[in-house]
Amino acid sequence: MNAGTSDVQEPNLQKSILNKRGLKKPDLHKADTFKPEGQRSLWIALFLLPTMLVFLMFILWPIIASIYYSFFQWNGIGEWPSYYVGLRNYQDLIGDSHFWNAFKNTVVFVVLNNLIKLPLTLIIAYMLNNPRLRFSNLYRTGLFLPMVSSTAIIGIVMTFILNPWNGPLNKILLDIGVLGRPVDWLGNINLAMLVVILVEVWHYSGQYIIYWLAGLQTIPKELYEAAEVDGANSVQTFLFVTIPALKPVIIIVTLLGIVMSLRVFDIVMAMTGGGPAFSTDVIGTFIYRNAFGTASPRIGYSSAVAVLFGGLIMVLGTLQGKIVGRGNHG
Amino acid sequence: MAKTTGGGYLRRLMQRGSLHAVLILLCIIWIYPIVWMISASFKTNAQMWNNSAGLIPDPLQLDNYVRAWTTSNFSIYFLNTVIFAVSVVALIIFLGSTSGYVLGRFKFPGKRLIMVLFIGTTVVPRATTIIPLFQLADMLGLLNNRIGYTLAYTSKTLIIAILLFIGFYIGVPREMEDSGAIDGCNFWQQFRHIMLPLAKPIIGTVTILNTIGAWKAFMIPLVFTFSRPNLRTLGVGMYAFVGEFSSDWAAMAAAASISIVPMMVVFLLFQRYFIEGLAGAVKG
Repeated sequence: MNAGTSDVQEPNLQKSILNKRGLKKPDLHKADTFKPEGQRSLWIALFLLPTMLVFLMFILWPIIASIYYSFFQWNGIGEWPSYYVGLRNYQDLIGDSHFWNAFKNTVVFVVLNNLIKLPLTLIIAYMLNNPRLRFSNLYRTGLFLPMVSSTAIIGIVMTFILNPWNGPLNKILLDIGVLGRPVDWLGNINLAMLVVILVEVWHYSGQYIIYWLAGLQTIPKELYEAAEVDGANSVQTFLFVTIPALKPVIIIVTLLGIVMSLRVFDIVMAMTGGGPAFSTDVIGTFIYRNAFGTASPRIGYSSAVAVLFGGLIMVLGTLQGKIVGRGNHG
Repeated sequence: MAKTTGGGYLRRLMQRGSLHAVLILLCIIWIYPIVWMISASFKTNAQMWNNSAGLIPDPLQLDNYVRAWTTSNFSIYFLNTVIFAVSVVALIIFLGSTSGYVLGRFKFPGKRLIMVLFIGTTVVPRATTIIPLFQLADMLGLLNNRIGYTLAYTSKTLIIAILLFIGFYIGVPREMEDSGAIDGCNFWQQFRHIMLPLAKPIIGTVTILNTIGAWKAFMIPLVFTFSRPNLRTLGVGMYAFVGEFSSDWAAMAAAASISIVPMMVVFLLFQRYFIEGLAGAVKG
């Protein structure tokens, strides 16, 4: 389009790029050959085609099909559902205590996980953000290390560390006298969810420390210098300088934390499988069990759960977009 | 400023000391499970039970690795995971750079709709669409083969890579393409020889994020390899292993180390790219 306008603007830059790529020297004769618009449109379409195919088949179609399946009773045998039941799956869902249990557990997981994870990682990031702190990189590496390990595998390692017979955690706590007798961390209905949440906090804290550190970098140094001149100590600086200046980042990271923790599946599968007595069963494991973990799969019913739950997250996600958008304007 | 008295200095020194104490304690707690896992992988099963909290294996032996690697098929799972991660990364870079390029630089009808669909669907968790995905793969003959789980996994993480490429290409000056047009490059050559090499930092970030991400994948490989155990990745293999040999915990620790340590090495080598990729979510 603008081929003629810039031929003299950055000749060195183009030459060095072209030479590096081993292309022939600029041929001024060809500078006048404008490509027809149609040809460019064709290229654009061609560039988008592979991605759109993957997206339509593996992302958009499953969402549409989930909604469609949710109106049928179907055990997954045969190519296509045929027994239309209207809204009955949704009606069953509302009366299903197992669904509400999984729903409640998911909410507990999301709320507790973020209530612990977000403040904890913000405080750690604040400590690490001090430019005068020695060994800062060493501390960061140590705290980041867990997050690159696979959730399924780390969950299984944790089941041994936490095991009630001779797991290292019980052993250490018994030795230093914190516990009188071993605790079955994952076998106790009241404890299992909290323990799974803490493991998830530990596992992904590095990611949130990175988010907060990126946010803290956006706060102008002058604000801290002013606080120092005023004689504020580090706690006061944190509360009255950092937190207010970080408000937009806090909103983004909180919503990110909520949306990501709503996906909880791997850690529960690996550590408890939803037990004991469904006390850690979340929506992800509920859908999985009804679709794959049973001799008579309830595909239509599971799809209704998925639609209801996915819809809820879409609403939250849109909310996130709105709030983030507003933050950028004002 | 003027008040640098002895008391102030002492207070500051103690403050700094307690800051380091807190951070050291945190690091010990954070790293302990990983160090424990690696040390347990060299212990015997008997020692694992008798001295479970200890971190020094005595006697130190490699038999757990032999059992995990050969009899428990972790050599196969390891190879599968490498093939999976490499294919995912290659596919994501190809799809992400091509579509990110045109979405970032050109105006065309339907672009807004595509962006809304891409961003709107990223928040939908995989668990909620796993059933139709499974059915679709079954119909297309993509179940229980490598192409199936590679495509299914890629589709989900692809969008984030596309957004990273879009963000990069929006910022590249228009002159860069014009220089190619002068040279008589067609659209593809312009992209391949000028625009793609420019995106090296993004390619680096996407490669590291997705190598580690694919290595950690669990749900898709789990569901896609139900009837083909020899296609399992490390995470799925580990999950099955615990179900089948739940008494051999020392071999389990070795298998876990085989799975986790390579990605920690990758992370330590390319930490900067990884952190930049994650931090983009907040800065962007």
